Amino acid sequence: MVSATAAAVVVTFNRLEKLKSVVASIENQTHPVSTLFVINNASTDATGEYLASLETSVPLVVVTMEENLGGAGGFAEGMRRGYASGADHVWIMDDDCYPEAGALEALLRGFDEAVSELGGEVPFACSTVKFTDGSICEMNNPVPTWDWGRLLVKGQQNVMVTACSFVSVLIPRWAIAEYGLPYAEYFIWFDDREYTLRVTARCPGVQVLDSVVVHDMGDNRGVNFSMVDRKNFWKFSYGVRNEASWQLHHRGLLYFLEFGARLVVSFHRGRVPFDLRVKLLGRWLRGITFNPRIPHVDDVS
Amino acid sequence: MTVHRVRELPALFEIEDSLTGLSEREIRLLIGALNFHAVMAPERALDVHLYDGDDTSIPRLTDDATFDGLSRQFRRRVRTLRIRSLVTAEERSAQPQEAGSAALVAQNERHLHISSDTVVEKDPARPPRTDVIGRVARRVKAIAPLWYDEARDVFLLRHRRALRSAAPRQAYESQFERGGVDEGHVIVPAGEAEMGATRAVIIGMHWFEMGGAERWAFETVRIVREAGFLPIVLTDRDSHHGWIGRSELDGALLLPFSVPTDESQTPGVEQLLRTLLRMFDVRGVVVHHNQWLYDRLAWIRRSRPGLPVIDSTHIVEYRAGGYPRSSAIVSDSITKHHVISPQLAKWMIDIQGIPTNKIVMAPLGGLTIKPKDAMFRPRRASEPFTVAFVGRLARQKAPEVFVTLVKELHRDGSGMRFIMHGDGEQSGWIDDIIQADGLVDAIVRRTSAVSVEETLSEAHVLVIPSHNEGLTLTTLEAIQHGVPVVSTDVGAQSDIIPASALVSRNVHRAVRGMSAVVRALAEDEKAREDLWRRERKAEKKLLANETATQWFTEEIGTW
Repeated sequence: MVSATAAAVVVTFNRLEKLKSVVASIENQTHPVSTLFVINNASTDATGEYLASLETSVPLVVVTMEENLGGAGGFAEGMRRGYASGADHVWIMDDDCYPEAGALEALLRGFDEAVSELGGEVPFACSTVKFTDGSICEMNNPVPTWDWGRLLVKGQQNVMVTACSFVSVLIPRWAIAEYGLPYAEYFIWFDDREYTLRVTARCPGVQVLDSVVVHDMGDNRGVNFSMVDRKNFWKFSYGVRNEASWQLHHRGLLYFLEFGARLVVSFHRGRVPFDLRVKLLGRWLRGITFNPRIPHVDDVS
Repeated sequence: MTVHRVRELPALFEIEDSLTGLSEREIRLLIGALNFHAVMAPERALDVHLYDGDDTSIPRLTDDATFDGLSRQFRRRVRTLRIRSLVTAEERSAQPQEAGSAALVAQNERHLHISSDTVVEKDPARPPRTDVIGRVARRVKAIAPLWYDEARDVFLLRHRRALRSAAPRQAYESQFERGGVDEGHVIVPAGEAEMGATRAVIIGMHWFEMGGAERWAFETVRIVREAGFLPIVLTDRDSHHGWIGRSELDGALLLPFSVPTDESQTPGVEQLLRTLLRMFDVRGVVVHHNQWLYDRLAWIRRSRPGLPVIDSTHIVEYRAGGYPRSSAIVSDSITKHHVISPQLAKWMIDIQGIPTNKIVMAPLGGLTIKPKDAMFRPRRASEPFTVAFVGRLARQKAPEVFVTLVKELHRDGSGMRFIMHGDGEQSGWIDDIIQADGLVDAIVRRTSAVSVEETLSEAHVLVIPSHNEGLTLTTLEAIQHGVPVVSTDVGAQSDIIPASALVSRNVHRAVRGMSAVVRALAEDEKAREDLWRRERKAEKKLLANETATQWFTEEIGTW
């Protein structure tokens, strides 16, 4: 058996100082990545200059996007590049995610252990995400399966999960070949949830508890639809449209309606300004006609 | 110049891996693919990833995705090899139009899939459509296969005109002018061959699979090698290449393509061919059913004006003329057209207007038969009258017509025995028809693992119900074994089979006609022997011509 290779993909936009820490963390891995792909999402700070002169101890490929395609577009491009490099796995993360030195090695080991127990269709392994103060990162808790402890009782450090965020996720190339890439059209929010739910159609993924990364996200808070304000509205606008589209086109009309009702209740509880409520319900309706096609690595651009 | 070898095969690269764990077929496929990539990346080191596959995945060897890795077929990596190209880089300025190819080639990784031998042993996996239309269509095809054929014939009528009209000649230079298919590109002929280059002949084949045309193509490879040239053999069809391990290919430089290669091969520049023409002293080109090479013969002749170029065609396809028509289109770039039957020679001259002195009619005698020693094989009293079909279970061979004939002959309890010998992509459909007609116990099925001789030694008549043929080698083989042949009137079968044993190619009339002829032969041993003698006489007359092997051996002696 060949030793597994993993290409790291970091998507960055205007967070140069954090990016430097991410790159250093990746260089510091006990299992070296085969290639580090940095997807510069048309940053407007000094990221471009930094990357132009960057030299790393691992093979580096900098991809500069002509425009900001959001995290979704950046991850789709990075995963496509990682796949094309021939790596066995693609390891994806944001530009504020600092993997501990053994994070990748633990992910690879945890993934192999899960495969030995669950079979060859395990579609991803993700890390435990901590906040900078060492506490659990509220926004990045994967969704466990009903039998989440099945591998724990076998002595593994793996919890079975169906969805996670794109903060240190290891995806085997076969899953990318079969299930495709994230929807770039989502731009931001729900792209990670949709993708991980998509690839767990037949078999759950795993969270590898001893693979640890730190998510330097500023404010350790979860997210829900009662938190909409004028500052974060733009993100929720994408989130509502994306999830509405997914609920309708991948689950069914009743789920779509239930999601709409949930939005109304959340807006009410959060006392979201009335005009924002109206706009977001418009985005919910936008989900009816918004239904992107699954992109694949061999799509002709 | 000494040609480097890997596992005894000419190789344009160095590799440290000893390629253990691979069969001879797999090694040859791999070496062939690596030859291509070595040509495309002169003097460079490449990391070549090998991926596994399943029953549905065909080899990925040279197509554009093998450069950029962007194919869903590359699911699981099983091995990575490092090679170093031994090809020297050409000193010339690249054209702007080559940018796409250059970007593709610039990667230092390559991505290949070599299918395992276990896949080749199975029929190609073709999962049936499971929707309502698919299920209904499959049922209809199983219950009424001949009506399906009739409908298909009507559908194909639109191609008939191509058979009766002269094909327009290729105007290669015009392709690069405004409005041409290669507008924006420029013709960059190949440079001179390097000093001391090995003498070689480029041979284009369809694929390395079983077939009459392929047997002849393999024979030409052998003759080329024995004449002292390095055979450079390229194919242009996706295939598992089950016959790539044949001894005729020993010592040949193999280049089995997977398609498409459009991005890596810039029109007018032709990176692969220009390197071959530079690295080797190419003395001639031979084309056997290889459209990729047909399309580039004009460029080759532009690069090497005096180079002999011959092609070999067998059969005028009723769908747009097939390779003979392709050949006619590029006739200005071909020095000699070899055909295997008088009928095809006549079509080339009369319909296509090719000068008689460019046509060589030489039948394929001697490939699988020895023209002498044939004797009629009388039927012993203890033997049930045995009707045989030998051929691939493919559309062209019309196995469904044979099954319907069996149904007709079996109906009245004639006591006949039926052997169906062959395998192929339509075996699933044939299984359905046999099942639907209740003939599972009536037909002896044999795969190509059984020798054709064994079946012919049991047969009393060979039935060839093909929709389309040239002159089948099976016909010659059957006569050699003392077995008369009944055939549809297709291709050049009438050069051997007398009118009394020829039937219409229309499927319903074919079944009625064959049924009557076979019944008559079963009842009248004398008539059966007479038919064989007439066929034997016609065969002798045909084979009295210089055979393809004799002609090609003489021809290549002049190169």
